[in-house]
Amino acid sequence: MKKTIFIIDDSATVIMSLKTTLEMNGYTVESASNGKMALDKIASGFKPDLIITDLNMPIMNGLEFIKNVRQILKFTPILILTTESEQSKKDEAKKLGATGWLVKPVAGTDLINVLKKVLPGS
Amino acid sequence: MILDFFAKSQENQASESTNPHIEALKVMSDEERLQTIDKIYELISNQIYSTIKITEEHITSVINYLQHLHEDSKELVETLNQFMSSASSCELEIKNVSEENLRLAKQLGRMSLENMNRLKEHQTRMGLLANQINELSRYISNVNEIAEQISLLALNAAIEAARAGEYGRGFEVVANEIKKLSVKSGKTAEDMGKKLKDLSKEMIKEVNGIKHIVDLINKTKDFTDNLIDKQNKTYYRFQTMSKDIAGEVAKIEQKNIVILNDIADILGKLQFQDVVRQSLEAMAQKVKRIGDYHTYSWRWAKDPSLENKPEDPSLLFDEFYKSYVMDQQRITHQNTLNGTSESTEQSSQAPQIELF
Repeated sequence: MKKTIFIIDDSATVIMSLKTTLEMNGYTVESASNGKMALDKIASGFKPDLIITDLNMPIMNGLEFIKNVRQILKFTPILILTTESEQSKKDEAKKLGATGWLVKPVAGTDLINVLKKVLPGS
Repeated sequence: MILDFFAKSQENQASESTNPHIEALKVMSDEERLQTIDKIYELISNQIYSTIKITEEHITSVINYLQHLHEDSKELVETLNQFMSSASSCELEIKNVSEENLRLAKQLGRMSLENMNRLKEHQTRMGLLANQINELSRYISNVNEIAEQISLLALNAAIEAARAGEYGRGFEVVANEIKKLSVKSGKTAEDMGKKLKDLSKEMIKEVNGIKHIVDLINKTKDFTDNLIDKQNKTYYRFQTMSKDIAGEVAKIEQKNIVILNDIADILGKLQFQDVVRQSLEAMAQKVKRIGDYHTYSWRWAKDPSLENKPEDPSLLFDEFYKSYVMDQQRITHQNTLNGTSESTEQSSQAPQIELF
């Protein structure tokens, strides 16, 4: 069965590029353009197999989203895909329950390799 | 620093009175000048946002092209797989037909051999019969000889009967009858001899006919063997060709995987647009911040009693530094303040991917 990846990013081009890459590799993709929208979708029952979120987004940023979503999805892997490189933010993300940190731009094959590591059976 | 700039600017205005733009500025009120400069900051900011939009549109277009490329590539692989599937079915069908043909050809070969053996047996038997008929011919000759001797004996008996006169009359009748019988048996033997001769000729013809059929069967067997050989060779050639095609298709599929990986990597690299967007958005925000600071400073310089003294402009550096999200922004900032040249090496120190 196809694994579902949830992409959260305020950049339309990032969503497009990730969606194409992931669909090319057999994943199903859903997306949201900020943390609040993503949280609402998950609160309404959507259960992705993995989440890829940006950090700096309007309305609700990535760290706030992780903090909230961990109360609903405790074990779903969450990867942060961001331009941010500050260590304190990275530490905070780790503390909140993020699975990994990827700095943009990330080559498609590298991303797929990461997914295979953190998403057993994909 | 900025206040010094304003003072110098005013001095320059006095000395550059011949410049038409300066002349135009002179007729403006201070508020109009301030609004013009605000407009310039707004223009720069809008240009930056417009640039972001342009890059976004172009990157979207590139992603669409890559999507099409991927779809075309996927379609190509599907077509190749369909072709391979058809080729496999065809190969299986040919294999089944070949095996069936081979089975029939072998059966035909066996039947030919069997028929040939039977015909040879017939041929042998016919040969033996012909020999026996020849033997019979010799017996016919003997019968003829006997008939001739009887005839001679009858003649002698007739002569002796004539000598006996009246007494030999009865004997003469018998001798004549014996002669008639000997003529008749001679005639019968002669007819039989002719018939046997004809029969012998017919049998030789039949033997030759059988020989001809055996030759034909032999040729048919050679033809069947040749057919089996050709059938085997054709199947082998088709099998080899099928394997070659499968090998080429596998190579194309491998190359296609490389292409798909390249497309995936390019798609990933296109995320640079988001990096550029965030940098430019930050620049646009800073332009606006400088514009606001400029306006405030201008008003304060004009009439210090109306506004509080603006903050130290060097504090803007700290403010800007705190707002950066990328290493490269921080490096550029430090290099600018230190007066050192730009280096991109430091920006790659942090790992691109880190799993916790």
